[in-house]
Amino acid sequence: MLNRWMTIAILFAAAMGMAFAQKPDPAQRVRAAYQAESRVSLSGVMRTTSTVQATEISSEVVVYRKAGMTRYEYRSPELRGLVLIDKGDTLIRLDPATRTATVETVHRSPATVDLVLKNYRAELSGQERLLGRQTDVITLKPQQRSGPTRKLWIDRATGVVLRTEQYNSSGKLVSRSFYSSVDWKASPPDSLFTVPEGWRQVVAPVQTERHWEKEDLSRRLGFTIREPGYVPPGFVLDGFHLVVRPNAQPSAHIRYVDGLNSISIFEHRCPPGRGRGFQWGRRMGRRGNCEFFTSNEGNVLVKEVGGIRFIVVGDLPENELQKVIDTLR
Amino acid sequence: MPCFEKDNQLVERARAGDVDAFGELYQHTHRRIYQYIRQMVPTTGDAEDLMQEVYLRAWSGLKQLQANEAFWVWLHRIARNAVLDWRKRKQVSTVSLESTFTDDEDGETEPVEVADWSENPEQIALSEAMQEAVRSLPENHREVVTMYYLEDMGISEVAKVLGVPKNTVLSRLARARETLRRKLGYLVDAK
Amino acid sequence: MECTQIKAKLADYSVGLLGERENKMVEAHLAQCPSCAAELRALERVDRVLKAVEPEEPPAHLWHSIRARIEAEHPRLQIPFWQRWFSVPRLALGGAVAAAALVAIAYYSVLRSPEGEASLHENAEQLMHTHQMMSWGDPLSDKAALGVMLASRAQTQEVP
Repeated sequence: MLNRWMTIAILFAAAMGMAFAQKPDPAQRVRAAYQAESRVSLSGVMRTTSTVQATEISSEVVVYRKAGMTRYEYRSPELRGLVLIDKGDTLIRLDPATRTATVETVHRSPATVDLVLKNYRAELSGQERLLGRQTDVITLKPQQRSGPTRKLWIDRATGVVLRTEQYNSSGKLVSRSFYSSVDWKASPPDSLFTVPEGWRQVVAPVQTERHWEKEDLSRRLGFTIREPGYVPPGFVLDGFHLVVRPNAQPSAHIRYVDGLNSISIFEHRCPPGRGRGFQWGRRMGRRGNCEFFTSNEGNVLVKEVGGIRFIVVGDLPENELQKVIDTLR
Repeated sequence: MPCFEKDNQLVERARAGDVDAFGELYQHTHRRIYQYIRQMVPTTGDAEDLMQEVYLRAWSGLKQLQANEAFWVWLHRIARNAVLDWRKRKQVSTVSLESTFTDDEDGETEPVEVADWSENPEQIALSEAMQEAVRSLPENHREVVTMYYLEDMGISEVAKVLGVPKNTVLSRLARARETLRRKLGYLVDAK
Repeated sequence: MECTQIKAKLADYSVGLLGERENKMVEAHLAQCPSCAAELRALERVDRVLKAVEPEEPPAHLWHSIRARIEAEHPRLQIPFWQRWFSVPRLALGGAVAAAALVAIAYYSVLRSPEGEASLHENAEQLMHTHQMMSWGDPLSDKAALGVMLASRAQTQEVP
């Protein structure tokens, strides 16, 4: 009798064990996807759709991947043959109309997959077959009350993300990309990841990657940079950067990241014509002076105090941005 | 300089009750009136309240405006009187003090002033010292400095608003310059 | 004339208060007195610094508050709406303004202040571009989609 129950118990445990063995660990799948980005070589065709300024833009993209480098060829007529080559530390933009290659150093974010998994819950939403392959559908949901959501279709065999859907903190789909075909055996030539011969090569004027020390940047810009007294939980400081734009004041850029989301705080001198007179008293007044913009990509909150304009950008609810900007004075 | 001819037409329409016409008059004048009021009261909140009062008084008082009187001068007088009335209500001393600022109504401290590092340190010191120095001028000198420099008014205009001879305006301006030069000391000395 | 006497007259001289005779006396003295000449330059510097002071911009919402009070307190003085239709172009201010500090508006409907408003909007655009560009290096970013966003924004900006 005991033997029979024990046998049943063992078989049951074994069955459960097998069931669990087949169910992937969502966090582990996410890590696999992160690592696959730099390891897997392939070529394929993607379809990507994004909402930019309330307009939907779709494009077919031919993708080549090799040794951590990726080449994206945009086939949509609106994008006029744009090619982006991501070499990890640099991003090269090829514009066929002018045969110009613009080289920009890629910003090295301190956000790692660990930070993602700390601030986002990885859930297994399902398992689907894409392009004849088994994928695990993992949804990354914010641990905090609100934030963006990302859905990844991760190839079981290689960890390559075959489909991505991105939702903003209001739950709206802002972009979607998926492979419509993949050649897993491809080994793209190195020439695909370099500037074509005879092309003009320019360095992008806006080198946003450089990390500055706060004091040096303050000196460069001519005012003391303020750091916010509050950032939403989960966000860490990425760094201080300099933004130089044509026909505009140079700006400090303080960036915070939580793995999938980011907050940017821009600070610059108010444009000319916004002087302070002889300044009897310095407050802006009881009513303050905040303006607010919103779009699919994020919300923007602008405030001017003491001759400095603060602009907070992020895919966060307005009241969270307000809390951040209120601590900037 | 405001365009007086156009203003006359707008005044006529505003007098007849056209708020939009009055709005255009506001557009022509509000920046300069704001400079004036802003220099005469401690906080921007006060300045905003006074701005409203000035233009409301102007709206109700349009019928009193003489046909040959420039709207701008008349309006500026209203602003001046509004400031004086405000002072009486608040019982603020008309003798300016070389004191530090008081906290605003909420009791919060003012934001920290930023230094202008883009210019050389002497320029910074000069600019800040100038602001301090103007704030500490006697009322009637600060008034003239504001109207002449910040509002970009001519001497005749200033004289009309204040109801004093031109030479009085020039004299106040001269005294103000002397005082400022004295207060700024070595900062304005020729190299 | 003594330097002390001249220096006492320099401020008046600098604003043009002196008569012709006194002007000549001061000028003659200045021509051969470096100390008084330096003093005049200091006064002129005061003038230049004052001219360089920038006026403070009045808040954009004031007119709306004023207008609201006019319409509330003096309704009988307003002309009937049907007369207004035939008046000259209306004031180019638009948009409703909340009394509170925060003004929530749709992306393309921007609070119009007398000047510089388009530049604030462009500002926000450019900085949004920078904000997005920086997320290129974030983990698991959808670079195909990001490329589209960056490309379509970048097309509207000419970088010299």
